[in-house]
Amino acid sequence: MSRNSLNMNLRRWGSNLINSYRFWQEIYQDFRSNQQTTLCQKLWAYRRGFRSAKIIMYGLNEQNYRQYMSDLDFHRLGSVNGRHRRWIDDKLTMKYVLHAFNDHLPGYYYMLDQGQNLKIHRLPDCPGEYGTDIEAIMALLESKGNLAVKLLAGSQGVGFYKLSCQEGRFFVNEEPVDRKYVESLLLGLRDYIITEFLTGHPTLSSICAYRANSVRVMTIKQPGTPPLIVGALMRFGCAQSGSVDNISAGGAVSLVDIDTGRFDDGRQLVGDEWKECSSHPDTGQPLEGELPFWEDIKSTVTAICNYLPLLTWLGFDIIILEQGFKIIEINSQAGIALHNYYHPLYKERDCERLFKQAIARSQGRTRFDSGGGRV
Amino acid sequence: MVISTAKGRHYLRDLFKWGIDRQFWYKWIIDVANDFRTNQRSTFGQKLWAYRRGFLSSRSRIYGLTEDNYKNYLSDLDYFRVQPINRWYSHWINDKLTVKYMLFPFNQYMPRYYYHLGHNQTGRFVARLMDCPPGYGTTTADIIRLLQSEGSLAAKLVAGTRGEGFNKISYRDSQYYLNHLPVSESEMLEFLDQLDRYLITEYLYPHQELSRIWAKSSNTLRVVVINDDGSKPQIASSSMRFGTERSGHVDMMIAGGIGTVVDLKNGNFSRAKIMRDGELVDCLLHPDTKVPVEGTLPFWPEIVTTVEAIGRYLPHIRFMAYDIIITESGFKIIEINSRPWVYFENYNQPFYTHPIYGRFFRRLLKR
Repeated sequence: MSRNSLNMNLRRWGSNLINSYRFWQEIYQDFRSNQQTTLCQKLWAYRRGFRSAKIIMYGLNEQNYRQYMSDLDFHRLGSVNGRHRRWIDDKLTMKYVLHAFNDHLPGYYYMLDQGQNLKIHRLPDCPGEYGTDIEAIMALLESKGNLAVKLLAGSQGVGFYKLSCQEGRFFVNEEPVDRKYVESLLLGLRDYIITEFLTGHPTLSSICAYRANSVRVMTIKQPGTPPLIVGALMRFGCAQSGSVDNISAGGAVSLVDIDTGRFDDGRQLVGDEWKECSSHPDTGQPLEGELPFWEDIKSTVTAICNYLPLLTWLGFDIIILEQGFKIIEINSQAGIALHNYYHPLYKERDCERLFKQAIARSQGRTRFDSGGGRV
Repeated sequence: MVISTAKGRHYLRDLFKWGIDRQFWYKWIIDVANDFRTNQRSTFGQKLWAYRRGFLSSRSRIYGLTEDNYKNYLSDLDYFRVQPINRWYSHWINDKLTVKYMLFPFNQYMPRYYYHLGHNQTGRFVARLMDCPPGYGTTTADIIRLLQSEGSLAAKLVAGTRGEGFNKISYRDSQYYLNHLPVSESEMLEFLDQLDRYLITEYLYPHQELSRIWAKSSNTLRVVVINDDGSKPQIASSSMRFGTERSGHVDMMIAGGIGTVVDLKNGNFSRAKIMRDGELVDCLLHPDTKVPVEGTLPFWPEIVTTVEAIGRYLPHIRFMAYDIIITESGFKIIEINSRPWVYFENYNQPFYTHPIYGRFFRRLLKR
């Protein structure tokens, strides 16, 4: 089968062009680079919609593979939110769309807009006394102590800077710099937002003190049915992951019990394998405990799913603070590998039905009517 | 056909060179082709004259363009060239549902949204929206129950413009009405079942000061706001539209509605015009009710402060055209357009002689 016809078939099966291309690319790379599986195993996995690396990762066999969401289904799921994924794809639109839940969103102060000359816009939470120039941003930094500078549509920690000012000394990502460096950094940024910097809850900081550790909560909702929280993970940063805690950047992760909010069973991604990691790689603290505000988090996440009923598949990134929690990002196509590993997503009938319906919905859409709006 | 000739190819190349966004240049070509085919009131020579100066010949006729005055008007081609004025931020206001979410702090000025109706391969789906009262589920029968309780509802396309896809559904004295025509309950259910990408919202009745002129449509106020530097939004112009028997339940001028100019200082509306034979002509009395089409807009100062506050809240959006319905108790923003038709505004005061429009469009074209 040629690459084109395979792509056509993938599209007919429900993936959109970009996702089917990504899927095909992943299969191609898996075929070329995965030395741990035989040719027969590879073909067996591809025919069932999986990369062959998942045979080892999940322990797939003929009896259990139906319990796991396949890579192909995951790519089909990617377009399930349709056009309305724009509501959450970038952090600024998400902030405005979820204004009803502003208590659970970080403070947004400035946007560094596109253009030959930097254009600075004040955002909804910017205190009234600050203007729209670099001096005003520096004054805000001096007043707040820490600010987060984020790429508008960045993910996996790309384009993140932590700016700090302590006793007149400036830091970027904890590195000491002078004031002019910070100013020139800001002057060179485009499509960035400046928000409040969030410091984690002491319970979590005791495990990893110098990174903001985040909870990933995944939900699925179909119109007419209540939202379902299908998985939750607690992610910890480490020296290898830099200023962020993303698993792909080397962070560690623990499974959260959805009912109780207890987290344990720590893992770290090494190559394509989830290696056991019962204690934090840098601090040595055990990766287990109980999440503060877990019931509040669940009810807020459920309320947001009901508030945005046209979005089906959401991955919330949440930072728990001493006084509550803040949603820093919502992903429209959050990775499922670890959730699938801990709890096979098709094992529960309700969960399987919702996912299969959602995929069928996305198959029914065309490029122009995906989700409600017209061009 | 323009494109098939060598000159046409040069023309296309020039369009690219002039910087027209790719999605807009083909719309311009289609507009010219349609204008060439359908405008029977201009001669071949007049059409060529208009196209060479960047105007559609139908528009040239509305403006009364001559060699002496055409440079005062924003040409149709220039309007295409500056698009997209709001860049990707336009998706914040391009459909009615996103606007509702975006303007949450101004929710009191938005209509109540009850349901979203859609279709897909697995069948029909009805989603409850933020203002749906408790006790109503997600079936078409629930919408019927809500209709019985509310009396009237609006069913409109999520991203419809110029009144397309707008329907009024009502229930009065045990009788259902679809756009004022009596229908049975099963016909109403059938109508609701076939709607795709529609919103069910509250239906807005116009203020008495406006309904005395015409009561069969909602009568919309258009307010155009320019916010070039993001911090000082300014109202550039405003017009009040009224429906007629010819325009049906909408009030667009293109559908036969009446447009009036609003005085920005005091909210007085006057200088009513209606489209007849491709030209805008005076219409001092409403053609059906014979009531003078002039008066003062209720809540005008509040409207001004609200649209300016929204401009500051969304500093990224430089050009917004609000469609507002003024009701007895206040006003509601039913839509915000990112690329509105501006020919009525351009007609009333040529843009390059207008202090706000002129400066704004000159700067955009320079960029």
